[in-house]
Amino acid sequence: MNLKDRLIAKIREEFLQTTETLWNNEIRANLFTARAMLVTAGLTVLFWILSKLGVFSISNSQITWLVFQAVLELIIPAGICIWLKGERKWLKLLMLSLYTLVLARIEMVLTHNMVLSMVFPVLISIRYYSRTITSSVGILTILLTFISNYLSIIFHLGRIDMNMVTLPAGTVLQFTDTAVLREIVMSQGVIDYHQHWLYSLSNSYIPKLIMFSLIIYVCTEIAGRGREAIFEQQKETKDAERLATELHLAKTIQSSMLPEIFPPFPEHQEFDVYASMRTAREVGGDFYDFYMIDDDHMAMLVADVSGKGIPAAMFMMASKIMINNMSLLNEPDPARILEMVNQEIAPKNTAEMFVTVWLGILEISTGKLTATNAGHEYPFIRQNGKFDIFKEKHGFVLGGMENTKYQNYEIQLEPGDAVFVYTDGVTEAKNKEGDQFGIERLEEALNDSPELPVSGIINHVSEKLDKFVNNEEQFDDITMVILSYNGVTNMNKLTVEAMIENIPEVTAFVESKLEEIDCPPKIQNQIDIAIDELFSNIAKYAYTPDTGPATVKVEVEKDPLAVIITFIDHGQPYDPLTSENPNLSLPAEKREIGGLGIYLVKKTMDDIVYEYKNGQNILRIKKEIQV
Amino acid sequence: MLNISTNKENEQLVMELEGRLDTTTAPQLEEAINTSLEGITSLVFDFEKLEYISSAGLRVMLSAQKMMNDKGTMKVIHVNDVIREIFEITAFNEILTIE
Repeated sequence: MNLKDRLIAKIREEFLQTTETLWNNEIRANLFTARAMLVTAGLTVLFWILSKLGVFSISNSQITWLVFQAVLELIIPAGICIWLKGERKWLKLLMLSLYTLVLARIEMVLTHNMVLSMVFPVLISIRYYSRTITSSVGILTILLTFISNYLSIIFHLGRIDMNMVTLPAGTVLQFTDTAVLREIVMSQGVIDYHQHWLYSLSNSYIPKLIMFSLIIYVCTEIAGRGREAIFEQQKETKDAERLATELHLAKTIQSSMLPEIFPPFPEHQEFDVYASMRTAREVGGDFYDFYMIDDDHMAMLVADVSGKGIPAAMFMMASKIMINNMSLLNEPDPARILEMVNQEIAPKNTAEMFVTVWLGILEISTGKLTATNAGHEYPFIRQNGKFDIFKEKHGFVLGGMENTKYQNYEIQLEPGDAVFVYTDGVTEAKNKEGDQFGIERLEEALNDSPELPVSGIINHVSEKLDKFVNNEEQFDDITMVILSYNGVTNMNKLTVEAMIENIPEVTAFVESKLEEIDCPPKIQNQIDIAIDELFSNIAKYAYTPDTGPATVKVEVEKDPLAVIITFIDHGQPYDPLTSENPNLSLPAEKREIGGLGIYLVKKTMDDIVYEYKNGQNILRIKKEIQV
Repeated sequence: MLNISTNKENEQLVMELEGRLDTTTAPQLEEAINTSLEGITSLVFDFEKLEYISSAGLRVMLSAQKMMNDKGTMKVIHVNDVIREIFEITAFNEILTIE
């Protein structure tokens, strides 16, 4: 669909929506009018009974007939409307005009008593929220009032104004009932109808006209405003729906930015990482992250952005990406990384938001953890099997002030040691009594089950927290991250200068690993060939004309038994798998050696995968071992 | 690591290879061939003690074959499973004479 069609479709959809809203309102307004007419009919009957009982002194022989007619004319259209559930366009015309007509007829007889009732239709028409309908009914009302006044006088139906009656001189009037008066006047008097009409016009109709006009004007304005309110409400509803959708999307994007697959680095047996995050609102300000900076450094962080909701989420995304980028572009130096991120954020931070961050970088081969803290909660460190809070020196929050300096500190992690970091949502979680979970309870929970695997420790703390909070509403995001160091039990990695001369060292290293699993000699030879081909490629091309390091990692998989060898270098991106297969049908004179090595590896190994990640060429081969 | 022992009888040269013919050792063999093909019409590679051969070794074998195509014959004997498979994969068995 092109843009024009989409626009037209959108306009049409909005038009249909508006039309539908108005139509729904009209149906309800029709039913309302019908009810009003039924009530009016009921009241008319009530007045008739009261007048028959003599409570009112209405002297008109036609009153019964009038009431009968009026009730019919009110009940029939109202009944039709209710029967049709209000769902016809013409119902409003039928009902409002008949309603006005009926009232005008009543007013014709009861000129003074019933004058107020003439505004009923106008008032009821407001419910349609339409200036046109209300003003039309208003004009009809004024017209019919005029006509009813006129007819009332010409056919002397209503009250007779004695000023307009000429009686014979000396006539004495004695009466207690208007009906008597009427009879006397009709039998003896002479009424100047023309004079009477003029008199009525100036003294009765014109004041009514002015009052009605004012009332009709006010009602028309209210109706028009009601219509606008409907549109505004509709727009607000739509905006609210859109906002809800956008919030949901924002949450999806946000959570997809956080690592959620555990273990995140299954190839690294040297450490375990686990994290959990529970957001208090739809989108939150907490975040955590962990990522490999290079083959020997893993960064881990937990952070809490000031504020909540969309602004916090946006600030969180920016901070997360910046910390991540700075980590990958620079030395594994947490304090320096945060300083650089702060220099990026702080000067542009007009919204005065900030983020507290704990950032640690683990040197995998040694267990050395270098960390820094930008105004974040103290970490817990498990050494010798027990978690203790580690009160390091804090730096200022990130984004708060330019030129903030951060300090690194180092912790030597031994196998079995762990680091637990969290956000204040954990310690400040409250129970019904308003008590906070607090540091002591957290420490207790951590030490309750220190032998659990990392996921178990966090789940255990979560359970304790839930038990403490006991269904009280969560006010802040709750985030926990744990790192446990297993140590390098079995060095399965070798890093050497990428040079042809080092191939025998690499081969010997891999062979020593293969011997541990009793690899058959033939497979060992095939693997040796693969190493020769792949490592010589790296040595020749990765860093030309310079040289650089290359790492070879050996991993063993079980069921089925297989060996996986990974070659990693930081050289120019190069995917050897893209080279074309050599033409094997050529005679010796035309044969070329290029591409033959990779072809050989592809053919003898069970799997070969290349990826370029974090500035590294990573080539992985897999060979199954059938003993 | 590669040991090369050459045995020359008249116009026949037998080269016994021991160890591995790969990127590091191939230049060694290449040099040995280049210096001893003078007047040779029959070149024999004895692979009995050769563990494996990589593409760098194949390159040397190919250039040797090209040279011998002009001068006489060349054959490879006592080829083990691994090497035979490599010759097959790379279709070198079509080029070389393997016994």
